[in-house]
Amino acid sequence: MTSRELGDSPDVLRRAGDASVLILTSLADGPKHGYALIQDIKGFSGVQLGPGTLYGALDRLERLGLIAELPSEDRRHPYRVTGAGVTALRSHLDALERVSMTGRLRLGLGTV
Amino acid sequence: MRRSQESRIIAAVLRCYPARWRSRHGDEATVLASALLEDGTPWWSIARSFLGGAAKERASRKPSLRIGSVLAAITLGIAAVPLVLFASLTPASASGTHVTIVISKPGDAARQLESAFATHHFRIAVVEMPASTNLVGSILSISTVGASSDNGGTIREVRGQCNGGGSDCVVGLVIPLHYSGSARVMVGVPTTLEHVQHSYIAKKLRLP
Repeated sequence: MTSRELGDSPDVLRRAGDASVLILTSLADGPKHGYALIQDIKGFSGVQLGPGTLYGALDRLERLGLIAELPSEDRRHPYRVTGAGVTALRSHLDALERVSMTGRLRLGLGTV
Repeated sequence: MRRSQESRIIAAVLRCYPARWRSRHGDEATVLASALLEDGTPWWSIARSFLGGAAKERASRKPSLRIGSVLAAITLGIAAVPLVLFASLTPASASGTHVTIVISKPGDAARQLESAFATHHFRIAVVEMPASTNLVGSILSISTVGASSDNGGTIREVRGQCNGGGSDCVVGLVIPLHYSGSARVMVGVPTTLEHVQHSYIAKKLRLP
């Protein structure tokens, strides 16, 4: 166990940007290449990720060790989420849930 | 504009990326751009996104920018050393005895915390909040009133194993022994059908 000041979270995705979270969420149910990522993300979030943003986030996530590239298929490079990526995504989603619940409580919206 | 012209423009934009990026992603980026054009994505939207990406890619690799960032970081680091030394000597940050409270029974977390707070006469209220399985038995949030200097110190989180298996939940608190402030701690409890029904009814009737 570790002790930290209030608000000092090890959530590595907190500053990574929305695109990184969306990509990890998409890869959580299986490897995908760029086009499949864009389509899947649009489907579950309504966000149309630009290709430039996509590649920037993929490179960043790979540098962080949260995703890994798979052998290319027909000029496309699929990616998969790593164990570290699953852990990071879970921590980030927990952090988001805490914020969501606090916000909903303060707005009187209920928590579920 | 014809599709061939759109593709040529996008190909020209892709040449703005550094050579290393193009050798790695260029082929796939071309295939991706074609697929997006077929889907009806406007060519200028694709080109704009690639232009922005190319600019960021070049900026992240420019040696002069990297050196500048390193020098700035070193300068700030040197400037921060006397500040850190000063902070460690000020009375406000002098460490006293603390109480460490860790939840050992996630199913009874609220009761454990209430009992511990009462034992040490802390004015900290505990609120139960329906949460997902992973967060049951962990501390979801803590709200304090007043500045830490007025309350006798700062409350720190203790992080550990989540109920559902994750490794980054708040499972306890480290509280200054003479903490005199007021606070509220929210603890995760299992979501029940009753919670869902109550929330639904409250929303419909616009109840707080």
